[in-house]
Amino acid sequence: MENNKHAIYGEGLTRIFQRGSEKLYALRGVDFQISPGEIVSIVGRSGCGKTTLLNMVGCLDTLSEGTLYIGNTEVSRLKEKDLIKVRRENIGFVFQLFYLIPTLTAYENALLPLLFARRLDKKEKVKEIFQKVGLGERLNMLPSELDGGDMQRIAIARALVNEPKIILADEPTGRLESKSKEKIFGLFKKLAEDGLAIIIATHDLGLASRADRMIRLKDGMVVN
Amino acid sequence: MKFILFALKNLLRNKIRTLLTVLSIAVSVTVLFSLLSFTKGYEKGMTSELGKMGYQIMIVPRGCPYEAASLALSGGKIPNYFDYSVLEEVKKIPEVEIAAPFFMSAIIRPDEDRTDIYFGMDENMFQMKKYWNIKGSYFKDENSLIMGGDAAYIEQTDEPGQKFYVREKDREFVVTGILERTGTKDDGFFFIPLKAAQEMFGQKDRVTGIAIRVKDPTLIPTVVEQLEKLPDSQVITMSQLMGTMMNLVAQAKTLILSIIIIAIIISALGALNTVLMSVFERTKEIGVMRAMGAGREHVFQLVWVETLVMALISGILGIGIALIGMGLVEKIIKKLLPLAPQGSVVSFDPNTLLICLGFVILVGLVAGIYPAYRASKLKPIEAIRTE
Repeated sequence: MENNKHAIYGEGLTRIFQRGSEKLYALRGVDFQISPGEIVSIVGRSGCGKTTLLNMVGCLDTLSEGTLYIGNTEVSRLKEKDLIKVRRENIGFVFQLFYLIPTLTAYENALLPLLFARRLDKKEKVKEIFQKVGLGERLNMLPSELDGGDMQRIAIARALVNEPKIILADEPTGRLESKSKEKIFGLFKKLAEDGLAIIIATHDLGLASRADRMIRLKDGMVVN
Repeated sequence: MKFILFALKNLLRNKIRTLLTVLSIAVSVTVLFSLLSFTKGYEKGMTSELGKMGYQIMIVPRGCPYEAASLALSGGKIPNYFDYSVLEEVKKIPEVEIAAPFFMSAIIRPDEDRTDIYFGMDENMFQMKKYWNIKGSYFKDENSLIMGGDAAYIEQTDEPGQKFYVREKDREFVVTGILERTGTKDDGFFFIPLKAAQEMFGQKDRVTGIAIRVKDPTLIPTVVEQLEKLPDSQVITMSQLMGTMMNLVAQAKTLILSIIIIAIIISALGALNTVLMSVFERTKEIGVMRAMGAGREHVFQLVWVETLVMALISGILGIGIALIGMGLVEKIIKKLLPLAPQGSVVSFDPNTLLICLGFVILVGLVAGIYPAYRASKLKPIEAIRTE
């Protein structure tokens, strides 16, 4: 099978955790697709499988059953080394708590993915991305000197430097006040217009409803 | 930005913890560097000093020959004597080039916190001390005195011709010469004619030692064999003395080195603990880095470089402290040593510096392996989930 149309194509995605003799289903046969330029939100109560699904499509965790394509690459059977390559080339992560390195400046934080990819020759790109996310003047500031909205924008800039095709955002506005939330969502819209596929896992139904498509999860299954 | 800068900035997160770890390693390096510098400097100083003696064998009174010989070299009151007639026996040995009797004693002036060393000698000793540069002249009569360079400085005597009164012995001398500084113990002595010294200290016709120069150094064993037959005296060669002193130093060095190695192991464990704690604190962050595309090797490299940078800073700091404190170390060591050369006993040697730096880097590399391994083994998903 080939996946020419979707940024991500998953079929029968299942993740089982073993606790003693008991099997716990975090995901049960979920079918999931997202196209370039699309924003998809994933909602549901805590423990419904939102983060597990994000981890699966982000190649951070391995499937127990099912098939998953990132672009044209079938990733469900790949080894860790190859998964790192897929992550590096295709996926950018944004987390609720930003996870910026406190001793590095905004610019240095965003530079890290290039350091790991040994592509520091592309560091001029970081400045462009900072302009794009509206932080052009704050390159040399430490995270502690910035507010939550700005820190999340640095985290988004960091997710963008490797020029990914997909952005996975886990509760990206969970710690932000409404004005910052708007700015972050506006930024996601802009990125989607540029052709990025964006998946947002959130409890915030207001934010989720503004996505192109909303997927509701319950007990590891899609319910809408 | 490079890994090393990233590692350095990570170390600055908990400045106090990093500083304490760096200091603990630095102190060990300071002691290691000082010890190695001292051993090197002491050997160099002793070799140079003994080389300047101008003789290869010394006869000393019965007792501990090393104590007597080291007293004769470093200066002090030698409590035992033997008869001057021994000299005649020594001169009969055909392989002996020069035999120079000497009488050494000291006058202690506790109120002035000083000890004056008087060295009674005859013209034979001048033959051995050919490298001496004397401002003025040798002894003219029994009341002549030559001052060592340091002794003259203390006595504020610039020119020969001045009188010098020894109040404890009610004896007056005339300074006939001032010795230019030699860098040996001679600089602190008062040199007087042998007979004057014997009389002044009430030991007529007795000496505290005889210095002997042999015509050919290969004949030293033959001469020693014959000298050992002489009554009331013992023979010691300068190479034996040097060997004994170096053995003593080597034993002390082994003991101190053992303590330093234990201290370094403890410091290394401290460094390991510091880095391991920082890895635990950064578990989530490491997970996020893995999500950003960092491989296991990147995480390993980062944590390893952090330990290495910490070790390197400690090494540089430790050596810096040792270099600054060299003067103090020298003063302490000289007070403790039974025989210390006049010159510096702590010598700066680039090889010692490289050995210490290499050693501390090795410690850093070894101490960093486990935390780096632990960090690299973290699975991104589990690391991100950690509470």
